[in-house]
Amino acid sequence: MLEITGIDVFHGDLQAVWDVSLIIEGKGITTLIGSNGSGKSTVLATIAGLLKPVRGSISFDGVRIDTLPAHKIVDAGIAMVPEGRRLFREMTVMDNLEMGAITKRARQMKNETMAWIFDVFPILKERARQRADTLSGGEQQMLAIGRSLMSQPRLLLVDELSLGLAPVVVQKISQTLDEINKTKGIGIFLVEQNVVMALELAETGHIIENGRIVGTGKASELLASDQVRQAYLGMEGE
Amino acid sequence: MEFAQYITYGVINGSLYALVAIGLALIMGIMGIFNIAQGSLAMIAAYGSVLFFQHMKIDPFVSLALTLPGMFLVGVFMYLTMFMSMNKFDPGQKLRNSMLVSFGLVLIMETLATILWTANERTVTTAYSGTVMALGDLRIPYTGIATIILAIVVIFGLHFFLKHTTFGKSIWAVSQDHDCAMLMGINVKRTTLVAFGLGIALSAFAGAVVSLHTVSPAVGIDWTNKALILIVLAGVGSINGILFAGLLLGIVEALGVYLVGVHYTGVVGLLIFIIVLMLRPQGLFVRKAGV
Repeated sequence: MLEITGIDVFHGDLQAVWDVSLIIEGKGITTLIGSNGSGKSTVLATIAGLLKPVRGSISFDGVRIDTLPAHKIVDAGIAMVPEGRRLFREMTVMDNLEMGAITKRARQMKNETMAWIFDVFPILKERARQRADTLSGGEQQMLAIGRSLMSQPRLLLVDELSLGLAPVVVQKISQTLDEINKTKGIGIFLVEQNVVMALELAETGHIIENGRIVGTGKASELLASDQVRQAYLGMEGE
Repeated sequence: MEFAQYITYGVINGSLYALVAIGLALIMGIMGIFNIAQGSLAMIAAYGSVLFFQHMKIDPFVSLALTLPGMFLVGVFMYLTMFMSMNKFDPGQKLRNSMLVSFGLVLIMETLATILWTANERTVTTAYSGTVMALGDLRIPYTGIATIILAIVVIFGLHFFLKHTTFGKSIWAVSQDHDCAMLMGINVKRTTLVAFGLGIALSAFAGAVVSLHTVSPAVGIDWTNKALILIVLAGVGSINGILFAGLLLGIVEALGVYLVGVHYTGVVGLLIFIIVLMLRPQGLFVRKAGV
């Protein structure tokens, strides 16, 4: 279980996140939705340790992690799929996967984990020796997810899964994430602008606006609520 | 046969140029730090080789076991005190600041070397200095053969390390995406520190070879000049390209000596530097522009 308690986060002098508290259950799929610039990616970057909260704390399964450097948070069992994939473009698919398994614990199980990821995303096995930047957008997202799974996380943070991908590809990848969650028990915390996809995939949803949490509930109920329909679905229909 | 003799010396010189340039290329390509002091560090390492030989009769190639870790520590110290704080700058600013700081280091090291060891030229004279292998009319100094072998082993070894070992690949990953490397669990601070130390340690190889020729405090900046030409020829980010660029410069210089005389060596080098900058600014051994 990930517990975020009252965090304030700044980008330089600009405060992006105000007193955010969230509880993310370890085994399920949770989503944080919000419009562009609402602070949702900032929350994710803070969990991953790229940004440090000025106030508040974050703990994972009882261990405080907001004081740890980013690479130690990976060691603690949280991996992140960054927005825009951020693959190591000049490296092969296989080398990208290897970079995901850099912690001591992950390195010992590297071959087993890689075999499992090739099982989940067979296309990556076909492309194993190709450079990452020769892959299609969907394949790149699969590689980004596979690379983060290489660290054997208990919680996977996913930043903007749907960004720049065709709807059919998004659907396929979100199905795979659901399978990974159900079969491996890896918790997933998804940050998304694609509200419908996110709320259909997740069990629990949180809404963030201007850096503050303004709504929390069962994903299916949020999807049916006026709050979401007016603010997000209305906007999407324009 | 005289012509072949010139080319042979060109190849030997080119190998030495490549040994000086490889550390500069690594640090620039991987970290975006422009270390003008690389040649001066090779000069300091060469004095190390000279002193070990004078006082303890240790051969320069053997004393590498001491000068390599020594220069690595110098690199670690330089990084922690001067270059680490530049990581917060954007790439252009980082390049300019590192250039200025390392230029200061050139002046400091040259002065320091003059105070400690005087401005006189020094050299290591081993039992094999001056001995040559005869191939028909061709005379190849044994030190030259050692230089060529060393350059090939060091540069291909470095290339292999970066592309085929986990630690090497993690250095490469950090150079491509610093933040994302952190998200993968790579200890970016330690990795960049070791990479910088490694880049400086490589100057010890050049130092060992330089000590067999002549060392004086002023040679540092000359070696850096050659290294810069090599980086422009090879292209930023190319490791193997440095060796080929070194051989190219060495051979072109040798041709210059053969055809127009020894006084124009520097001119010939700068001429191909300018021609490559005009026609292929990304370098000869890099496929597309940019890193």
